[in-house]
Amino acid sequence: MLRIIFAIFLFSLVGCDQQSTEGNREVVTLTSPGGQAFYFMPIYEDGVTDITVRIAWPTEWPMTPDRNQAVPHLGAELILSGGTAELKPQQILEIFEEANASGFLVSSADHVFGELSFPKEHISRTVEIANEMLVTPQFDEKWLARIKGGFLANVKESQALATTKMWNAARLATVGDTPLYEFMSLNNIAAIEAVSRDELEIWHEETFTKTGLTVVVTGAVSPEDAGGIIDDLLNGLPEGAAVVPAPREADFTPKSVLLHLPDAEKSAIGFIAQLPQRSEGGEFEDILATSLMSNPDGPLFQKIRTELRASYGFQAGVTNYTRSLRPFFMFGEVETEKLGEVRTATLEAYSTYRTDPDLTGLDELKTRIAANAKEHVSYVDLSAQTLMEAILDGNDPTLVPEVDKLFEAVTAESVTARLRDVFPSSDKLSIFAVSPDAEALPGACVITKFQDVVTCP
Amino acid sequence: MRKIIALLVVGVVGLAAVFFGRSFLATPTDFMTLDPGPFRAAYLIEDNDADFDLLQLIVQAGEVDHDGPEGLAHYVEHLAWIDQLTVTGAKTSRHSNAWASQLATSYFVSGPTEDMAKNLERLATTAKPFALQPSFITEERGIVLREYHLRAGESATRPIWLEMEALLFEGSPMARTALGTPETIAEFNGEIAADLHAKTHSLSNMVLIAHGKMKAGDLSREIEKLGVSDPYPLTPIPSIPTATLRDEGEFNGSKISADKLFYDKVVPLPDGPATPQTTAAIWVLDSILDSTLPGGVATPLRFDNFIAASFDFDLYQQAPDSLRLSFSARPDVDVDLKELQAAFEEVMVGIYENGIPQESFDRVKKQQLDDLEDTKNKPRYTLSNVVQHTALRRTPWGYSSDLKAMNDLSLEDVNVMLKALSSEGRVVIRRVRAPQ
Repeated sequence: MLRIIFAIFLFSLVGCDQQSTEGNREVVTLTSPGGQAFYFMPIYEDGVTDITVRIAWPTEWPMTPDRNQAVPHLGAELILSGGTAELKPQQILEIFEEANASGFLVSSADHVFGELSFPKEHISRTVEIANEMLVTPQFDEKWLARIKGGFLANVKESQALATTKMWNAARLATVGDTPLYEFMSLNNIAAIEAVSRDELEIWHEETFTKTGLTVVVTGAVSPEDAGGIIDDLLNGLPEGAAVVPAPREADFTPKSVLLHLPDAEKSAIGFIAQLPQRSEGGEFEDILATSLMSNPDGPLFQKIRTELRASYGFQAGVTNYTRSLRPFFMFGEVETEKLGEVRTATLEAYSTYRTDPDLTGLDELKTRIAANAKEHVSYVDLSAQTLMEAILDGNDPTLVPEVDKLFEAVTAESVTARLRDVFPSSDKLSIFAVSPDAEALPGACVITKFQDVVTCP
Repeated sequence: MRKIIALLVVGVVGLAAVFFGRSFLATPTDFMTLDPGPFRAAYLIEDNDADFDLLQLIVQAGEVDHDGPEGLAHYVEHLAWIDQLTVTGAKTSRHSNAWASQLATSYFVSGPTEDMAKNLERLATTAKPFALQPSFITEERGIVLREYHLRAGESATRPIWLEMEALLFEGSPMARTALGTPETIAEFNGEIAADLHAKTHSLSNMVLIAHGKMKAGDLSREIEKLGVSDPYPLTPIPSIPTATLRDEGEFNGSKISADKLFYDKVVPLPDGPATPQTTAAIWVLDSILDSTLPGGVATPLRFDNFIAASFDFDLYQQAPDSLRLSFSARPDVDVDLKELQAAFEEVMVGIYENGIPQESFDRVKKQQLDDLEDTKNKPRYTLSNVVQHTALRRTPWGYSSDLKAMNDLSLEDVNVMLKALSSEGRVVIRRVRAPQ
């Protein structure tokens, strides 16, 4: 009897549905039946049922004069919020919530990114709704007024901050009074208030086409179904004209600027200089080098907080104005009376670190970041995001599933070489500060409005 | 023979467990309670997948436990942590840090398993009297002020929030904030900091929480080396006022960028301090009220009508034994703040009268259960729970308790919570107009 029970049990195990894992996390390029090329990374693992489609539409809007630069920001939010011809906004919200699906659109200076994630059992309904939102957005006037109001509130609140004004000056000094500056800074209140439905429709028509886009699909889906999803999602979009974002230009000529705001509650100082774009390599060294620089055990914290006692914290990092404009920065809020000393101490600490870095904590940091990166790409949607970034940067997307190993491969020698050969010397750094004290940064070009930074040498 | 059959059954079921990846054989143990040695309690959350081990000490005392200048507990935390670094010669690191809140002060170190003994010793050093130079102690006041400016200095809503807190918790230390103000920070000095440290930072007023690959035996041996302390009774969380209150006000905000309604309500929890059951009921009720589902405020305020352009809705347990609703909203174009407030209160009254619909409850409970079951890293979930509960001076519980409570949750439980919320309680409402 026991043998029979055991045999039945084993038989039942053999009969279990064993999903094929062939091709799991292998990145390949495919073409959908409708002719759309896409990058595909299936994830055939226990418990994984989600699928993510991520699309990047190239855009020149943020580089085009006479265009309202608030439009891409408001348009992306309005497409998501305004419903479809047949479904009210809350109906879409409920359908997506019940299906555990999500989607978003976001405008960057080079691309508009769209992402749709959903469990595999809800493919048809979620893709159908997303397609309708994408092809025939409603741009309802009442929703436009509502979203514009919220956007204005956020912008006004942000623009009131002293540090926002300081960084506005830095952006204006580097990219000039250009559409790109306006797109990044969003401080033209009148332009935001003036956004019209007509402008939104022009932006939509020019942006959401079938030409030039980059498409990524990840998750629990077969190649055939992935192709079908893409065709269904893009169905009805116009072919459109090719858009190739031109490299953006900026002037990082070193300067020293103090924005004097008598009513400012605090002082802050930032240093910036250009780094090469990510497609030229070295990104992992940059992340580790700036992390070590910012570490409480690193040179900035030690110099500015521990020794000078002038700041709660001081950080370094790399930001992206655009895909090609990639400033390295150091920043901290500091005691007003010590602003000048902080400038000197930061430049000294940076200069020493750049030429003779203490990389004692590198191995532990690598282990921690590699572990985070490994966990990051274990998620279906974050895999799609990482894959898209690698593709747009011209890096090898097949390495994405093992991005943790790229961190582990970094050595003290490669970080040292990167700092020495690629990071700017301290005399190439531009310095921007904000303070209630006009005398706080001797020798700096003192302005009282960030717009006047263009007058500084 | 029976023994053989029993073993075979266990073997078969065990095999099934291996194949199906489920540990249904044993009652899950989320964390271990160790002999605490000199501490009030010691918990270990084993996690063999952790890359580094964490040791965290939670002092069960914070800003509410003194009557000195507001923010003093945070200043003490800075000094105790830096003193520890100075005494032990340890290096600062982004993976080791400290924080202070109303009810707790915490210090944590993360590192490889082999550093466990050294790291525990570092943490225990925070209980020793400060050995810092007086000049350094004074200078640290400036650092705390920089932190205040970084976190709150230009906030448009903080002054409004502070005024509302003062009314909601009038006369109670629970109205105090850990960050303090520039004026109170200026009053800090080494003497009052040392006094508060001595009063609160004994090992017997601390709970040790460990997470990672370290072995219970190894940790217990290191705890034992720290000796024992006389028991230190847990300081109760100060009570908050229970007298009903309704305080409405309208004013022009100097920094706020758009008109905004703030509505906060505190009512007693129906069954006293928090349990996994009340926590599950509040999670589900919060999700429903914040949704477009029947029984939620989003459809009537934001979708069927253009009244609230955007809103934040939050329902949570307010220590020690209350339930708190925080609602803030920006009105739609041409909607007055009073109109928005009236609409919100009317919607809430309707929900109180009709109760939560079964359909909405079923849907949200399923979502919450799915989310809980999908939790990838259960030890980390438990770690977060244990830290949070300990910092709120509760006996902690882990992942399995939350999962069981959610499984057992009924619509009646949620409606009991809704009924509690409908009581008069203490309500503070502020209509804040933006400068034109």
